[in-house]
Amino acid sequence: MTPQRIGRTISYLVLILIGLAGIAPFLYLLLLSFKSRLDILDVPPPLHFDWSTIKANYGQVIHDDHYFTFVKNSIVITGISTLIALVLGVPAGYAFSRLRFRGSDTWASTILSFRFMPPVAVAIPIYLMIRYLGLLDGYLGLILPYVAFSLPLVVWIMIGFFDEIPREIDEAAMVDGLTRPLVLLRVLLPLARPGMLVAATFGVIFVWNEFLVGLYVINSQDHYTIPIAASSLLTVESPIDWDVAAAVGIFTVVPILIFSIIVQRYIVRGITAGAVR
Amino acid sequence: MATVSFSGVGKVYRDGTRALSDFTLDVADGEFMVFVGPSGCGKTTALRMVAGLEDITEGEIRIADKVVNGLHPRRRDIAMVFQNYALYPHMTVYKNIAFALKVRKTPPEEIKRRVEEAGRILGLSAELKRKPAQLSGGQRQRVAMGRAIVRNPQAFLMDEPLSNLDAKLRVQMRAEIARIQHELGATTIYVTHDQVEAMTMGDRVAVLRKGQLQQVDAPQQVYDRPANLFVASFIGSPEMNLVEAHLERAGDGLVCRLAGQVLAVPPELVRARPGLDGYAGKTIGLGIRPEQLEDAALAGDVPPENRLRGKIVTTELLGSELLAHVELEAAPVVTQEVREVLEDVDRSRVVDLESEAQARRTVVIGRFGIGSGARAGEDVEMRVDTRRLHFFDLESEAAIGRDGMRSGPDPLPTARLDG
Amino acid sequence: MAVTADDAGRIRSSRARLPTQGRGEALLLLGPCALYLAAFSIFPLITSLVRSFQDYDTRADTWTWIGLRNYSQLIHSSEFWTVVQNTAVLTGAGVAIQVVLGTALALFFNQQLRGAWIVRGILILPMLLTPIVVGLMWRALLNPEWGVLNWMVVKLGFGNIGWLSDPHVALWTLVFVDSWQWTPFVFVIVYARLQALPQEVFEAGSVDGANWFQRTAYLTLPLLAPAIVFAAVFRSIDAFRTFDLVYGLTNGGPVISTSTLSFQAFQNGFEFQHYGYASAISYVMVLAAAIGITLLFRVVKVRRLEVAA
Repeated sequence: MTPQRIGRTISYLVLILIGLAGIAPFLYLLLLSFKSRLDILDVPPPLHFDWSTIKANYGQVIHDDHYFTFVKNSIVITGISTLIALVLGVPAGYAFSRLRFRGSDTWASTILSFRFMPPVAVAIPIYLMIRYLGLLDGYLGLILPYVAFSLPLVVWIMIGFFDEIPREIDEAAMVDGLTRPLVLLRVLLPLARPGMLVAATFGVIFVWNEFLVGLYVINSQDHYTIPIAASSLLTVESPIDWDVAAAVGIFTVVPILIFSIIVQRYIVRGITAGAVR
Repeated sequence: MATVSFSGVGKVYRDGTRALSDFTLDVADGEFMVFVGPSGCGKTTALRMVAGLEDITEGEIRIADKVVNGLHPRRRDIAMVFQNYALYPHMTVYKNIAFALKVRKTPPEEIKRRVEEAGRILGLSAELKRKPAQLSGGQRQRVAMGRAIVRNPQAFLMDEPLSNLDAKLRVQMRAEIARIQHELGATTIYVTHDQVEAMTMGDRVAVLRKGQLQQVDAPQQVYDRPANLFVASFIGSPEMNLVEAHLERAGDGLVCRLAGQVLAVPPELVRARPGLDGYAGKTIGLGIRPEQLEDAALAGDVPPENRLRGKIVTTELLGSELLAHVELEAAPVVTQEVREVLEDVDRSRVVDLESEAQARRTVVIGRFGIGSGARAGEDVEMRVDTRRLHFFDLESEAAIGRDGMRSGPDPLPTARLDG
Repeated sequence: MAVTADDAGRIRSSRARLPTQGRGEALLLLGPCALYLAAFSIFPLITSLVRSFQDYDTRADTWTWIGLRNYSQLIHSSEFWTVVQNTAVLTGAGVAIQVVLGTALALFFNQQLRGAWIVRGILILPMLLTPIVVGLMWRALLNPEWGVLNWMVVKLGFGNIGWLSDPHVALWTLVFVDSWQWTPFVFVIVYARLQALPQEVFEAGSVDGANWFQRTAYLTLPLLAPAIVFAAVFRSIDAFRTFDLVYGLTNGGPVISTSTLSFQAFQNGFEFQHYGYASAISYVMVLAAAIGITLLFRVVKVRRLEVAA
C-alpha cells in the first residue's frame, strides 16, 4: 500500500470510530430495551432477542404508562407554544431589523440576553406566578412560560433573516402602496419562510426538551410531557427498572430522530448563522 | 404627471450629520431631471425624501403643488426604480408589475391590460410567467421599470437604476429609459453617480456636492459653462485639465502665462467673461478640455500664442483617437473641490496630484487625431483651442465671469453624507 | 463604474430615524412581544431579585424582608463554594475539551471522505436530545454492575471505576458526558466556517510551499478563530447554567460533588422551598451570566448574531 492509501484507510477508521462514539449510546439503549430485567445483568449483553420481552417492555410503556398521552401533551404544548412565539416574535424581529428608534439596539440585545439567563432565575417566580394565576397542572401553565423562553430565540433568528432581505423590497412595497405591517404580511412573510422554519425548529427543540418548569407546574400524570414522564422514572432514590426505562428512552429519542432528519438543514443553518456570516 | 418642487429642503440625521441643505429646485411637468454628484453628495437622500422613505427635516417638498412632508410613501402616488431593482423574488414578473395595482384595488381586467401593455413596451411579454431569479440583469431592470410605468404615477423616481448592469447593456438601457420617459411624458427624477448618464439622459442636470446644489442647467450648458471647479472637474471624461496660470495684460488683450509659455486669450472670450480683466496680474485656474488640445502637427498653421509644449508621458490609442498624456511645466490646480472629485474616484489620485503640485508639473490629457505621431518620451507641440478656455478664481473656486450662479457658503467640513 | 458608490449612505439612511408616520406601526409590530416579555421574563427577573432579599415561610405563605442575609449566608456556606467550583470545572474544563475536540473534528471532516455526511448527521443528534434521556443513557452505560463501559475498562486491565459513585470521579464524568453531548455544537459552527473560507487562500499557501501543519497553524486556525471564540463563549454561557444533565445523570451527587449553581438553586427552591435563598443563588448567576453576555456581544457584532439551541 502507498502511504496515501494507508492515510486514507486510517481516516476511514477514525471516521467510523467517531460515528460509533456518536451513535453507540443510542444503540446500547435500544439493546437494553429489548432485554428482560434479568438479561440486562449479563455483560456484555448477548445478542439474542426474545420478541415477547420486547413486546412486554414496550407494551408496558404504551399501556400502563400512557406513553401516547405524554406524546399528545408534548405535541400540543410544543405546537401551541411555538406558534405563539412565532406570531409574537416575527413582527418584533422585523421591527428590529428595519426600524431604528431610540435604544433599539439596546432593546434587541436585552431580548437576546434573556436567551442566556439561567432558567432557574425565572423558574421560581414563574412557578409562583402560575400558581397565583391558578394555572398549575394545565396546558396553559406550561405554554405561557415556554413562549417566554423561546421568544428571544425567535426574535433573534428572525432579525438575522430579515437583515438578509434587502430593505429596498420593503421600500418598493411601501411605494407600491402598503403600510409596514402589510409589507410584512404580504411581501416579506413568504420570503422569510426559511427563517421562520429555523426559528420554529429551535423553538420546538427547546420546548420539547424543557422540564425544569414542567416538573413543578404539572402534577398529574394526565398532563405530563415526555421529559417530565421520563424524569419521573429516574429518581435516583428508587432503583430503576432498566428494561422499561430503556424503552421510554427509545420512545423519547425516536420522535427527535425523525424530527431531526426532517429539519436537519435548518438546525445546521440556525446554529451556524451567527458564527459564519 | 406633475411638477415636483423642493423649497429650502434640508436633511439632518439624528446623529447630527447633515446630508442636504437649503435645496431649492423645481422639476417641471414631464421634465427629465438628473441629480448627479459623487458619493455622499446628498442626491439619493433628496430622491428618497420625495419618495417618503426619509423624513424631511427642513423645508418643503411639493408634488403637483401639494406639500407631501410627512405623507406615507404610498400616499404620494410616485413610482420608484431602485438600484438593486428590489423585485419581489417570490412573485412572477406579471405579479411584480401588477402588485401596486392590485394593492390599489384596480379591477383585474384593467390590471391585466396594463401589465400586458407594460410588458409589450419593455419587451417582456415572453417573460411574464417567470420569476426574477430566472431573468438576466437587463430583464430584471426592465421589470423594475415595468413596475413603475404600469402605475401612471405623478412622478418617476430612479435611483441609479443602471449601475448594476454591464457597460454595453447600460448604454442600451440608457437610450431605452430616455425613450420611454419621452413617450410617456413622465416627470422623472433620476439619480446617478455617472456623469455620462447625466449628460446623455437629462433635460436638465443638477450637480450636487456635500449636500449643496452646485449648478442646475441643461447638460451642454453644464459642460460648457461649469459654475465652479467642482462641476468643471466632475463633468467630462477624461476630466478637464486644470493648471495654474498667471493672467497678464499684453497690449490691449490678456494672456495666460504657464511657466515659460504663453497662451493668448481671444478678445471675444474676454468680452464674454465680465470681470476676467480684473484678474490681470493674478494667478488663476485655467481649464482646458482634452478635446481642446490637438497635436500641432495635425492642426496646420498654428500661431505660437495658441501653442503649448510638453513632454509625452504615455499615449492611449483608442482607435478613433489618441489620448496623449502630456507633462507641462505648470502647477496643477489643487483646491478642496478638485481634491474631492479625485478622491471620489480613488484616494491614490489625490496623492498623485499632490506630488505633481510639489514638482510644479501637470500631466494634461489631449485628444489627438489618429494621425498623430506622438510617442512616449518625446516632446510635443499642442494646438490649444483658446476660444473655449475656462477660468476659475482659485480662492472662491468659482468660474470667473459667470453671472451669479454659485450657491451657498462652504458646506460643513465634518459632514459625512449620504449620496 | 461605482456600483456601490452610495451603498454606505443608503444602508445608513434606510436604517435611519423612523419616519414620523411609522411610530404607530412600530408599536403594532413590537408591542405584543415587548409586553409578553415584560410579563413573563422581566417581571419574574425583578421578582427574583426582590425575593433574594426576603425569606419565605412555607406554612404561613408569607415573605419577610431580611436584607442581605441570604447573600451573607451564601458567602459563608462552604457548600456554595463547592458548587461554584464544580460549575467552574464544568464550564472551564468542559468547554476547553469541547473546543479542542470540536475544532479537531472540523479539521478532520475537511478532507473529502465518502459517507462522512452520515457521521455528520449522527453527530447532530446528541445536542437535540432531551437531557433527561442523555442522563438515562449514560447511567446505563456507566452502570457499576453491568454497564458496558466498566466491562471494557476491566477488559483493558484496570479496576472498576466508580463513574458516578466516586466523588472524585463523578464531576469528571459529568464533564465527559456534557462533552459528548456538546462537542458537536462546536464542530458544527467551526466546520461551517471552515467550509465558507475562500479556498484560494489555502491554494496560495500550498503554492508558497506550506505543508499541512503549517497551513493549519498559520492559515486555517487564525481564520477560524472568530468562529472558535464564538462557539467557546456561547458554550461557556450554556455550560454555566447546566441543570438538566445534572438532574438526569447524578442528581448532584454523590453528596454535592456534581451539583452546579443551577442545580443548587433548584434544590433550594423547589425541593426545600427556600425560595429566598434560591433566588439569591440564581441572582449570583444572573450577574455572572450578564458578564458572559457582555463578553459575547464584544466577540460578535450584536446585529449579526444569530442564536441557536
